[in-house]
Amino acid sequence: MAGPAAMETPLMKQYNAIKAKYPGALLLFRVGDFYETFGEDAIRAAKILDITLTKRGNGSASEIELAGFPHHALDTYLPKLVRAGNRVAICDQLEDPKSVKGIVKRGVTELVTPGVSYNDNVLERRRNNFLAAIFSGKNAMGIAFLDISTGEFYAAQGPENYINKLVQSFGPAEIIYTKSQREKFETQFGEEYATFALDDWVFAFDFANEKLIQQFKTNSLKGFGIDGMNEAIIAAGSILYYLEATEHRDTEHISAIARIDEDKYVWLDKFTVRNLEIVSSQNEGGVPLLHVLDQTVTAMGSRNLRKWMILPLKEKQSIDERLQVVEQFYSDEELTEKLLEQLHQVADLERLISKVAVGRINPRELLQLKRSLKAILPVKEILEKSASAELKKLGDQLHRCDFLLEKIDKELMDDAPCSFIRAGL
Amino acid sequence: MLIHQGGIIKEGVNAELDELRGLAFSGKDYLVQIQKREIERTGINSLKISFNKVFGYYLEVSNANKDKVPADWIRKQTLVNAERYITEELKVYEEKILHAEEKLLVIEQRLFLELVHHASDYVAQIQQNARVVGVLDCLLSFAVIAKTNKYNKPEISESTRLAIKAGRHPVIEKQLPVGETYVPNDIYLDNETQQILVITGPNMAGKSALLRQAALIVLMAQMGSYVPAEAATIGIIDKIFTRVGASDNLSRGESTFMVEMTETASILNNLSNRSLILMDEIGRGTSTYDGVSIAWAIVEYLHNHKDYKPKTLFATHYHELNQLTEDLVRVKNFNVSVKEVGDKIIFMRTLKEGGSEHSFGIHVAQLAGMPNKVVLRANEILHFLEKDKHKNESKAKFDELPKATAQMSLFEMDPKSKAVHDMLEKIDINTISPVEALLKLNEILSVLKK
Repeated sequence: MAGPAAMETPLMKQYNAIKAKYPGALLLFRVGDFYETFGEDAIRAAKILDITLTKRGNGSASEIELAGFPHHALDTYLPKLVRAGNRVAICDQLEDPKSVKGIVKRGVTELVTPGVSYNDNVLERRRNNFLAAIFSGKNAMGIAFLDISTGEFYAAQGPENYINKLVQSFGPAEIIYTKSQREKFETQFGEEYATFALDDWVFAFDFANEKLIQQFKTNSLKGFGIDGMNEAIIAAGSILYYLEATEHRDTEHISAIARIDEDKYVWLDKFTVRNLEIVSSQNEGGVPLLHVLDQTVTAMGSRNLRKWMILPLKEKQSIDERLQVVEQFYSDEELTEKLLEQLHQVADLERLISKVAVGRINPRELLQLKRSLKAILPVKEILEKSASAELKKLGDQLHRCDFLLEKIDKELMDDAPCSFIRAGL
Repeated sequence: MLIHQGGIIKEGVNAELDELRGLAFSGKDYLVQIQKREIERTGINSLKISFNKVFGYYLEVSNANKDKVPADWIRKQTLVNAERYITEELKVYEEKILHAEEKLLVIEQRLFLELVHHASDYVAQIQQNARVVGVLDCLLSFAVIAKTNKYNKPEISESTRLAIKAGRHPVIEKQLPVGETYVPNDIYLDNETQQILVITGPNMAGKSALLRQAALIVLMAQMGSYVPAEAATIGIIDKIFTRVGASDNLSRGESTFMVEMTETASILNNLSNRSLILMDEIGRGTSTYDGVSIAWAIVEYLHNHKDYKPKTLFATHYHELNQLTEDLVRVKNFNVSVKEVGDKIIFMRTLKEGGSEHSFGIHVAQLAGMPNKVVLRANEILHFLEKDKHKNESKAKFDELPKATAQMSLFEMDPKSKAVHDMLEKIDINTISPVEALLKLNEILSVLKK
């Protein structure tokens, strides 16, 4: 790609060094007010984004293709690159160019992959964006799912058909697995899902266990119900490693992992999920059951419904608990209307608070968070006053967050802009 | 690195911020005064003070008034119809204003990040709120949809009975053309008397919809929703299996029959006493006789399993399977009824007890727009074949079938029928010309006359 080292400009030298650290990723290289791509990346980016492909160092031995776009257009162009199946490394200037002599220090601040994204333009509001990791051990297969945008983290293990069924149900945006099992998974999932293979050493029990304990700040994994599920733990640990490898280091919102308990849910084989067209349709233009049933008004409701649909219950008591609440709402239209009116005002709390945790929230989003929390206050009151024990319980579980509300109210302007402010840059 | 424009933090939060804002504001106020004063001094009424990133604050004078500009102004830029100047005084205030603005942006940014940091103490609480809202929203959605779509509350039971009264398919009923209503159906299954329904009926009569409808109602009930039925008692189901004969995976180029059998095998190896199994035209991917045999053996297996009595809906167009009820007590025949009016058929879409005699395949061909000649000729052949001993013979063969021994027995066809069958199977109806069809028929007849 580049000429002999002696011919390289300092900038290209820096570029090549960074590029080498992220093999397989398309590198967006910040130069002044632009993100530039070079060589193969430029050819790819120009095609996907429909931007002009030019050449740098025309005629010289170090001639190289070049394509770029202004930095403020990142939110427009990044999702297109990711949706086209690319892993995109964003390389920023780490110093103020005004304050340094010579070349500015640069580094990759985020590696965006289909399964790891906070970007609202990549994410779909009504569904989770799961990253899955699969590990095939001696006795069982382990799987873990993480939605970094909401902090939801699940693990399970079992025979191969169970794992396949979970993949089918959860429909992850990206699947990672170990290099030595690449062939097996590539043929199994490669066509339908974006996949990435990690080095084998990542998939070791001690390493994974340590990673999870560190993440959750606990002494053991007993409290999460995945103790002893070694394959599941290995899969979950590899996910945390992958976050680090993609420069996602602020992950405090990932504070727990939940076991997908085979014994709690109806076993739907993967043909059932597909043939019954529960959450997606086999035919183009077909309507899945989800679309008929989904009358939810919040993003959380919609995502939760999808989960309930792929994981129906099989314990009478828990089913009856839900049915009783539904009956309550069914018979009390006034109550239903009042609650819906409030829920209509609730934005995507889950993704907003994740953005708080990773320090990527903008002032306008913080206002949305405030309004959403305020809308919940009457909900809490209504539920707590209810005669139904189930509704009372739900009301009790809601937090008022008074102090936070007061602070935001007092400090944040009511028409604050959505400009991007990020710590540490 | 500053990317924001300010205007984030309210007044009264930080004294320094308020002071800087005052400075920046009064500075701008002073600029207005400068503008007024200079207008009076020079008599240039169109004089204005503006700002850009390159020159900072400047005075702009249209070409018409150029000669009135005082000597102490410094010219910075010439435009087509105006000139831009700066003055010493302007620069002094510019410095003050910009400095204040820069500082206040830094402070705003810091205060905002502190606020975000403060909010991060609430991550766990707000995550919980999000979860509760999600649950509440779903349950409200169930109630709303139950009203709009006229669903009813199912009764969840520990028994092994599945009784659906006047059930509907939740998706299909929403897609019917205006004026048409979905024909509801009753379905009853249990582990003691009616474990397996063999549902026969012509293609297009709605067998598949019926199977899926039952499973969807169970699923909806167990996710806590009301169901599209007048009433439903759901003895809890813990596994749902579905197999649809030879429909998918075609594009992957695998042998469909092989795939079908592998997958059916995985069902048979994972049964439970509370399983619900949907088998739709299983065995379709092979020749008729292989298909019937495999379907037959599967039903027998499900019925005679020593530990489990999985509830099964078995849709098939092999009416030979109706004979299963003679030996298997918990197998019941049902059909999706069809009315024959003259030579045509009407789909009634109701599920009735009892087997069905014909598969109405030729009628379906007619509905599909097959040329009349072909349909008529096919009818003739059908009658001929039905008259032929092969049918009775095969019935007799089924009667003689060794009863569910450990090994599945296969049986041979009458060689003549087999030859005819093979010939028919090789015909590609899409490419054959009328003349070729006639020749083929002649050939078939000659085989039978041998």
